[in-house]
Amino acid sequence: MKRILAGFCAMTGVLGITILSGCGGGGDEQKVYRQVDRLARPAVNEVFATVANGRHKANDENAPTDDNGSLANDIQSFMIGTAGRSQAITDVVKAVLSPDVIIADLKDNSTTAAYLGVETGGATGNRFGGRALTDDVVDISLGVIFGGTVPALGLAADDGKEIPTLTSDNVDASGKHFTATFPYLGSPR
Amino acid sequence: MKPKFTLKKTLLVLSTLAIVPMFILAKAKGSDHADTPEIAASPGSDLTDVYVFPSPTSAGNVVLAMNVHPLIATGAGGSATFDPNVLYQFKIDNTGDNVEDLVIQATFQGTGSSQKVYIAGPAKPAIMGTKSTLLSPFTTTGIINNTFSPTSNVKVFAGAREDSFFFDLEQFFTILPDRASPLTGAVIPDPNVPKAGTWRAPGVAKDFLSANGFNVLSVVVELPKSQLIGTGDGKIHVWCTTSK
Repeated sequence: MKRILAGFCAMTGVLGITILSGCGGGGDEQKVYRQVDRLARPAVNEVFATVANGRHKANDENAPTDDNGSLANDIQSFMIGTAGRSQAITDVVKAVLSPDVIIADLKDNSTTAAYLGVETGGATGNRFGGRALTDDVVDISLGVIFGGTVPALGLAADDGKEIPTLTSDNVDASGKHFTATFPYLGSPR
Repeated sequence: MKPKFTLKKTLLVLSTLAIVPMFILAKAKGSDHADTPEIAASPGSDLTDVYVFPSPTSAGNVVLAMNVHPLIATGAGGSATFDPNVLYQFKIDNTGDNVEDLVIQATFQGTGSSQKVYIAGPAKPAIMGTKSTLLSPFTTTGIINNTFSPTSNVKVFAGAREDSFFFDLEQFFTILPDRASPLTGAVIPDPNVPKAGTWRAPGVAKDFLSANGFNVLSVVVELPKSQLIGTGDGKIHVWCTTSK
């Protein structure tokens, strides 16, 4: 779009037209912005998509509706090749994490959020879902990838391939200073 | 397997020096911090976290929060500003098809402690997907690091906050060094093959972000849930984007 506008402006310059709306300062409302980064669920693209081969970049620059044909393939490779899990567990992980969006049920009256709460029918705490500041999303994700979370929820048979040394990074939110009032995230350090 | 000391050394420097050189600061990351070489070079467009939670202070409200610009050093939050060339968006699908029905847009003008904050939406965007155009912002403009109300029932804060993500990043990079390659520049063969088999023990493991006192820039919007539900069943699908 930028290039088309520039070309158009250059052409009118050749034709000797000096005033044209859409060129120069008045053109801002016409600008078409192009997406450079996209994020919803934490540590999904980060863990599953390689930086090598541009996989992470591709997912940053496409839309959630592209995820089943793109991010889902990264999940497939990682779950089978790296984590060594069964296809049945891998299929559940793909179905839960792709498309990459945070799901929240605004008609649920829970007073806090619970990461993956909608997707798991409340197993992570409640059915509001969303993501709370204190949710240990890394450990929840590691439990799904390397642990027994999926079999425990009855979503796929246990494949006996859990790797207990990888199911928690052993850090929590105790170093944070969240606030009871808006904007809730802690003051800068 | 070639041992990789560069990142370890970098992280050691980070954790032991009170004053961290800017070039090293520009080269470290978190949940989705500095996720590709292109994004690492443009921290103002680098999304690091997204939150959706019920308002702790008002039952009918929901809070949406996005973090960008990772690794602002302790004490430097007050001088950090959003990228005035970037369009920051919350995208909300309320019909279950993972296509945005509503967007909330934040844009910024100027730099420094008086940087202006413009908010638009939630409103239906003119185009969906990876390209975007600007909605008309509310006439009430905010200033960075100050809460304001662009329209009745809506509260906005855009400015520096403590990085809310907690993660043993150092060990993650030891396990999967490919994910550090935007920072190290190293190309890792077999990028999905773990180079370590375990996380660090409790007490030894460290939340990289709080251990080093890093900050981010946050856009936090609190608004009535009813403004996002539309004609849907109450379930919303949310993601954030940055665009140039």
